[in-house]
Amino acid sequence: MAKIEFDKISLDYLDAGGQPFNALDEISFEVKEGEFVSIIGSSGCGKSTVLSILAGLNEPKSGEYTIDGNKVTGTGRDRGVVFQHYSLFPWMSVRKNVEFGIKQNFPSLNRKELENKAYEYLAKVGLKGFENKYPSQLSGGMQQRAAIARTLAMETDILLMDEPFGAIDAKNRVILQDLLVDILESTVPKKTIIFVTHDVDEAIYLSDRILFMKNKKIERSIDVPFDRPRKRETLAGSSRYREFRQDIVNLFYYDNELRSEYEGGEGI
Amino acid sequence: MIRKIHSILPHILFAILAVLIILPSLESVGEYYSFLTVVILIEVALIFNRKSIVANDIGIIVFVFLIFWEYTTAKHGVKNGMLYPAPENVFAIFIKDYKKIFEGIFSSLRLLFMAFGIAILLGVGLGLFVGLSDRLSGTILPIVRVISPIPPVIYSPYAVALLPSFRAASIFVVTLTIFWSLFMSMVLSVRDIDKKIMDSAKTLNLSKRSLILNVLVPYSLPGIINSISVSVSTSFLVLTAAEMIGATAGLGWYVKYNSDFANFTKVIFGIIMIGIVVTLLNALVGVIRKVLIRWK
Repeated sequence: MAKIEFDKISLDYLDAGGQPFNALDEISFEVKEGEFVSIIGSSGCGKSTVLSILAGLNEPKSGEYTIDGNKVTGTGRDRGVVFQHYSLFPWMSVRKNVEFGIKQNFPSLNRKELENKAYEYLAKVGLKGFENKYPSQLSGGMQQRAAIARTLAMETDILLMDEPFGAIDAKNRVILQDLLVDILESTVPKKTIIFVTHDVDEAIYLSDRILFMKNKKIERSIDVPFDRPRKRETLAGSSRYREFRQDIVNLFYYDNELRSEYEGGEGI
Repeated sequence: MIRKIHSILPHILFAILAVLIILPSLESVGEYYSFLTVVILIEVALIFNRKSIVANDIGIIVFVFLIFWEYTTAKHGVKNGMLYPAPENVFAIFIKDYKKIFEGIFSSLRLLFMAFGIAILLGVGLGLFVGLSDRLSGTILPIVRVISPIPPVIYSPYAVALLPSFRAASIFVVTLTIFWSLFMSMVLSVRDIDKKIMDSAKTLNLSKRSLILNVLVPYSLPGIINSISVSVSTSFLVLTAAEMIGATAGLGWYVKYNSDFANFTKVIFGIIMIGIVVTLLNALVGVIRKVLIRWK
């Protein structure tokens, strides 16, 4: 059974004049347990809207959204979300932010246990020594590390990430991608992840499967044909990677047919 | 060169003023000790802030003013000593009348703190309650926009007549002065909360109680403190105005009472004390802001 299932999900927004505006058009896909799926597409294609429905911040107008076969309404303890913009609470220190997140999912922990767990996860994202800083005292990249630590520390089965590295400079983006891969590979059981991005390289490097969205619909589901663990350098150097990448980039600009050998059976 | 003169000018002026004070004055002028103490305190404050150009400028202005005041009254007496008293006499009031002065300050502050307590509880509480509901804030905000600009002092004669005691009436009027801006700032901050913060709070699955205590209140805190710091001066203005109407204690009463007896020396001293108290209150709000909002 699929972990997450979207069955003919549609969503309308009301625009400024009160007219309904179609944001998603009967979208269907499935995500398996432990799978890392990226959603890519140009801005306005509806990828962030899909994520906000997954998170429970928006309710679909029609269609059914299930997790483990149960219908989902609203936000839930089974899903952790990382946004593009630093969503830490500015009035709490980094450690308090993480503790606050943990407390929501593990209300029975005492103060000391909360603190230890927060320290553990902050160390994992490389923020040892910055635990008692306020978010405004940290760089954007560090704030995003803290936001990731907070979400990871909530130990949810499902991780939803909405362009989490979109506002971070190129060098730090690479560092954070590697950090994410390291943490996820050492996490048991494997988390189910849906990751929204417009960066093709990021999607290929991180995911098992890529969903390509265009015009409020999912156009393609593409399996990423590279074995893990992936090495950034060898990956980028191979001609297979360049071809695969070029095919995906072409989807953005042309309506080219994708090589059929990469077409994934799942989801569409 | 000019900088050097500028940096020593206030101290030269201080020396001139000190000598002027010690020189013999007209007969009607009393002991100069209190006035001299005040002048020395100002000079000490200047020495502590001698790196600051602004403090230097302020020092120059204050000393020039005091020299003028001292010279035109105590030394070359303008004849009407009752309307235009010498600084020696004004500052000597402190020694003579300190009991009444402190009673007045405490009486005024008691009323003020009471009003702030009520206004903060009601303003924040009702502001949250109304702000969290679309329907309530849709109904209440237009009504509030009509009522809140009415200057609360206008209610004081009616409040004095309506309420059982003068105390109750002035607490009511002062509370109202602080309440509206707090209430409005609370409602608006809850309604216009940053979407990123709200989404983040929602995905953490907070209970309503936790959302209010851990997100909405701290998010609104800078606005609450801003609104309090704006209210401090106006609320004190309203309070002293109210005290002039019907009180039997307080700084406003002290000024009004003494002007009824044409004791303008005490009136001027009372006015100076009000300035000092308001300044200290504002400084207190500044300290509270620093302690509560370390994260900005």
